[in-house]
Amino acid sequence: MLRSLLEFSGINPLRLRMSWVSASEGKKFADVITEITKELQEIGPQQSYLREAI
Amino acid sequence: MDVLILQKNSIKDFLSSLSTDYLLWAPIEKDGDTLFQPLLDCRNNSPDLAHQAKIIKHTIFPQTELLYSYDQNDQIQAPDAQDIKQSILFGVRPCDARSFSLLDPVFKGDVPDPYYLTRRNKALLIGMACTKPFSNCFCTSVGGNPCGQEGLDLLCTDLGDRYLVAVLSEKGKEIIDKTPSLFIAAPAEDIKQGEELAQNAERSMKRRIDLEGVTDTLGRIFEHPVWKKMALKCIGCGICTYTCPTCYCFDMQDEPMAKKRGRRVRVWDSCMYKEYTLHASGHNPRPTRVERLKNRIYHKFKFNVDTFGTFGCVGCGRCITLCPVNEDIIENLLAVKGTA
Amino acid sequence: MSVQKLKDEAARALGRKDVKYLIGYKKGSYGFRVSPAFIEPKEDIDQLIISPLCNMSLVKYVMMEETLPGLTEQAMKPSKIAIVARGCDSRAINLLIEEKGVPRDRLYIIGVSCKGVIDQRKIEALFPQVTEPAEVTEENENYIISFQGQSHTVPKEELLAELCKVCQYPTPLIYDKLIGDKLPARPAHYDDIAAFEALPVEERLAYWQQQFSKCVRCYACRNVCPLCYSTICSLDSLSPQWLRRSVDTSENFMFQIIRTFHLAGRCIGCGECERVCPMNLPLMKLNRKLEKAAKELFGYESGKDPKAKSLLTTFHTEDPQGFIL
Repeated sequence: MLRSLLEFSGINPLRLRMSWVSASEGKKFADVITEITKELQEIGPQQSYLREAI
Repeated sequence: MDVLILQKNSIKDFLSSLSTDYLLWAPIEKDGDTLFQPLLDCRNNSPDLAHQAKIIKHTIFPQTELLYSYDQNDQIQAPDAQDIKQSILFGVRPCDARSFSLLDPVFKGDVPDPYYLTRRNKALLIGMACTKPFSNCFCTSVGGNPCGQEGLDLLCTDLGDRYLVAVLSEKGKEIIDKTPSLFIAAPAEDIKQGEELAQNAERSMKRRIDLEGVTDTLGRIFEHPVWKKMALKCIGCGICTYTCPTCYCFDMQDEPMAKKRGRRVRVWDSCMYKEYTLHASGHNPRPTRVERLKNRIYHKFKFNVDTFGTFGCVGCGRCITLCPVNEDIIENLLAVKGTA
Repeated sequence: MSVQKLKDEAARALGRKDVKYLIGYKKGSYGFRVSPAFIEPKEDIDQLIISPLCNMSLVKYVMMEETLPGLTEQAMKPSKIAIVARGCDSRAINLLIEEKGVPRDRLYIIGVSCKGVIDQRKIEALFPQVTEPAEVTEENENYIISFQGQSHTVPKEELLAELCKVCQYPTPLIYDKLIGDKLPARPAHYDDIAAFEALPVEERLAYWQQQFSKCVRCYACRNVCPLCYSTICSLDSLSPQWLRRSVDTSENFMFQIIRTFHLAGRCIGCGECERVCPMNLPLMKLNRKLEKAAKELFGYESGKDPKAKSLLTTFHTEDPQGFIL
């Protein structure tokens, strides 16, 4: 639901991810992070709704 | 005092000439709402002078204002007063012009507030007389006038295809002198027409209340049950305080920013919020809407009178028009009078 | 719908020993406004009205009862609040009961079947600056509007609130007494939301950035919402602080998204948030988007039944899980 709301407001839904990873699932954790990092690098940094810098 | 004529088709030239040296604010229509905004492209955008702008005080008292910023080396940087541009507020209704005069003593108190005063001293007010008051206007009941001059540098009155322009201050005169070719001296019939329009405007004010003695009555009825009934419908949303031109309550917050920097900001606050009087101990001297609504009315119609000698209300009617549940200050004051 | 029938029921309600007071509608202080009325037993029932101008929800007041610290025995006696409730109001009541916000036996509900209410902005645009009190009745598909001795007939379509056009339950789903005919439920429509979803992302982003920059964080939307009744709202909280007090597009975006998301699977579409917003923000667009999502993803509609389990507190194995890595 949150993903669809963010997408509706113009934010790429790929920026919100969820996974169940237990402390003993080291390989799964590495895979999930690698996948998310790769996808985020492809879509680039968030440009909208940023807090202003002073 | 000079009284001049400015043709309506010269307005764009007049405003354009001002926009080079001044930050020009005007009521601008956007998505069906009229808001005081910077008027950036005078050639293609016109002010909306037919509707009441929702909020005006943000032009001099911004909703979020940087007080100072700091960095990891404890260097503190306050904003530079030089960075605040001279501004002109165009299309200000007389009630709103009066409201700045009511805010001034608050910010000029024991410790003058440089943030407010810098903007205030650099602002010039060009008024638009209310020849047709809005549905909830009651300025005449609180010492104002729909075509009043208080607080204005220039006052324009709409005569149809031209404006009657009264020059009310040195600052106002300087503005006129920038584009003298756009103005001519007003002929006697135009001045007379302006006076008639002003009288008609006063007569056509639809909402009135006689506030004689209301301050004294308030002094006696602090514990009266009338307040409970009055406050039942209030939802404590704060719209009245945010749109009120004479409300000035604010909060200060520290905010960490990126790159080990931070800032302290001043933001509008509202006495209608529960948190406004919440003490660190958890005690709240105004725990329910009854106390908070009562306080608002007391502030405007008794405490302000006690401290500054005038009502803290200019009768603009925004609180009545914009209140979502029809809390009506005139009705509430009638209830107060009814207790006497 | 008969005003007299409503007054009779109201009089009966106030005659009950267990009803403390009644919340209904009365004439507003000017023009086309309507005001909430809080009537205690033995007070004047005649001030009650019901008309297409009654475009506010009263359910909020059920959750706004305040007592000074140190409750007295008097205040704690079990007593009912009688309330006039339209279709959307009844859904809010159902949800409040289900969430244990208010016990069912605290309320005496006088349901009124509602054929829709007038949008304040539309009628004030059509008849600007009316101070004298006005009245509106509905006849066939027109509104008859009277003020200052004049009478105007305007097609209903022109003044009907947009949300009423997509109303699913015109007759209350919960009540102790019902005034008016039982009107059939209507199908859900989300064409406006689907049309917005179809816009390219740049347009959607530009739209919302513009809208969120207008927000003045008055918190009226949160205050008026019948389902926002947390003792400490996360949008106010300073410890922990989720939202800054400074007002800019970034913080405003977070405010609106958080509020909308806290209504996910809960919002019953009364539209009060959008009605009260002084800056005219299209808040129902966000809420209806989640209404649509709840329906599509979970087949769920909020507030239909006080015993139905709420959406986000229940889990079924068939719930969509495609988004989980």
